[in-house]
Amino acid sequence: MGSAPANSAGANPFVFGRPIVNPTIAKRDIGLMLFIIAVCVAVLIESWDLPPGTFEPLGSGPVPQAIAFLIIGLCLIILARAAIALARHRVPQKTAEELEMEAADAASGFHPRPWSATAVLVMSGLYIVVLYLGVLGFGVVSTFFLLIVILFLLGRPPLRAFAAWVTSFDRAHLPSAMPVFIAIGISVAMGFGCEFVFTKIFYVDLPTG
Amino acid sequence: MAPLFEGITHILTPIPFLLVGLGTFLGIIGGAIPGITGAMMIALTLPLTFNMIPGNALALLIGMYVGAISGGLITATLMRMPGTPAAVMTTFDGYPMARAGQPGRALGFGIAASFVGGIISWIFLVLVSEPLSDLATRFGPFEYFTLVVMAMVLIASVSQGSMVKGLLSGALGMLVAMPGVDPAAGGFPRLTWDVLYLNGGLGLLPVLIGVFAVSQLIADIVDIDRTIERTKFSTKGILMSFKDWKNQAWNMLRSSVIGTWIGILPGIGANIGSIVAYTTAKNMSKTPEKFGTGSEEGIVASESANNATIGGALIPLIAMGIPGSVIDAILIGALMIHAIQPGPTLFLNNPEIVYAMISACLLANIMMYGIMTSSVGKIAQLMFTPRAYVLPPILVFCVIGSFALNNLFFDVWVMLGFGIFGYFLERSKVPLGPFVIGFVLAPIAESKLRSGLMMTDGDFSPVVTRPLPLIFVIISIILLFWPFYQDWKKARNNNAKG
Repeated sequence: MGSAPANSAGANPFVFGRPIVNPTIAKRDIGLMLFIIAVCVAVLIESWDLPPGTFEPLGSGPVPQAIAFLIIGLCLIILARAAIALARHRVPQKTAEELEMEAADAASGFHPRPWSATAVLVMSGLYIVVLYLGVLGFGVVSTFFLLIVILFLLGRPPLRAFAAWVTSFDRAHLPSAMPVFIAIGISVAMGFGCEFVFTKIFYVDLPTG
Repeated sequence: MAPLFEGITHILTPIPFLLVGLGTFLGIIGGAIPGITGAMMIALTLPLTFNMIPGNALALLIGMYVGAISGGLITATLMRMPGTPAAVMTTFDGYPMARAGQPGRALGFGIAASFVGGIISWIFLVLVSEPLSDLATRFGPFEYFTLVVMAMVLIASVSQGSMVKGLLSGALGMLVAMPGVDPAAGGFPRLTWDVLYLNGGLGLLPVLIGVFAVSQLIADIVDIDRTIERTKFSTKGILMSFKDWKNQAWNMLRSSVIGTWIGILPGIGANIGSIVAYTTAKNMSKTPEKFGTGSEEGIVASESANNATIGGALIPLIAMGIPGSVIDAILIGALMIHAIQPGPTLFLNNPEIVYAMISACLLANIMMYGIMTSSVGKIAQLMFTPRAYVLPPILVFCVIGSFALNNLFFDVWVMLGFGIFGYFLERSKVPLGPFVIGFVLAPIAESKLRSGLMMTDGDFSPVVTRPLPLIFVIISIILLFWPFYQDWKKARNNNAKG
């Protein structure tokens, strides 16, 4: 915990707390803080015309306005720290733990899959839209959604083995194709199981198609 | 004591007993699977409790709370990967001990310490919560408002990483709580942008599930190919010997008291408790050099303290309606969903709920010890379930969970939106704990401030003229500026060294 940067360079400036030394985080901060500031500006505009309180002296506007101003101030501090970090450290400054994890990842050939996460989010959006349209029941839609997402996350090898087994019925492909069978089992059990449990036992009004 | 015995008797009847057992078991499993946190599990379970009576719902959730904090030690010990953030310190000694061929013994120390920590904090919960609640009923609106402000500053100041980001997170949570029809201002809609669905405000469940479950799912999918080191498992040494109990007794007691105290402080959860207890144990140990290499004392300190924070954190929740940790913020949400007003009057208005919660905490700790010692081997196998099978069903649960409260797809989009926002906050190292606590506490703080101002005709001066609010304000200011002062001093020293 709290390990120091492994290759810290130069003196630390003070900008309301320890400055960020990792330019990667600093770059992320800039985008996020600008987005948050934009949201706060929208909040300030929306709350500006709120009427004063009728039964009490405070009214509806001052509290959200005060919070929005506080957030903008904090965002500006973080932006200032990010700018200093980017100006001072072009090369990422990593902690000993981060370096150790990177070495372990490199040894195991690990690569992060941000695009997989994006794809799953897009699929989730489509799943919600199909549920909203109510064309098909929750059980059917969820079973297909689960099957597609599980197979997508498992990657190609099990699907290839499954395709090979389907075309040749060669038992040698079965062990490699097993994850596909498991995926089908989980999807059907979860999709229709959830529909049954939540509509019949917990009385949730799930779309039934 | 009679209400407590009534609570215990109630919790031992079949349905509450089974619910505590189920909650504890599911919590342990969730805690043992990396990527599933206690907060995530409890947020996802909340919709299942809508049809339960409140006491049973709280019993299930508290069982899950105890199970999730305890279950994290399994992965921390066998995989060097804390199942929950609370078990981070356990990895430092649990994993080396397991690697050295004593995984059963390492887990045995952790389980026993968790049990003792849980029981000691439960004793404090029984002894302290009612008197504290009595005291809190005398708080006026300004006292309560400044207490909430102090809690928010405390949460931000101790959240891991940057304090500015902790404060930002808390303030963002408060801002998210603002939209909706404002009853105190004549029912006028506020920050709704003419969206009718926003008149009721952003729902607690969609926001919670988004921030804690969906953001974690996104992070898990990004890292889905990461391989994890694992050690061979055997149950040899899972039960501690009398000699071990004797050797660790003082360490367990001290760490449990530290954990309970840290838990009582508003907003600080199990991870901080285990860090403080671990550091204290190391500083007081005769063999500090062993810490980090497989020290029994290290495992015991970390695990006693993180479980002790549960009972500790329930104290401010029950007595004052102030969450002692992120999970307690979700429990406050559970109370509100069941139309129970959290706060100092909880003891007066709903004593049966309070004692059901307290009794569930005791039973869950006992069950946790039984389940963990008898079936930790089988539970450990679940850690190796491919995440491709686990994550998509959780996503479906997230959709159901956010839809279930109002049967609105708008809530599902809110959940997805906050999931993405939460993921980007985490990527920027903005802690999520203060966000949720800010979201839960903001309406309380605002309503108390308004009540106070109505009483004083718009005069803010009681914040500094009344003794208790003044004390809370002074503590808030010290808490706010102390980390900045320390950092400024550090930066100055570094600059002086050149």
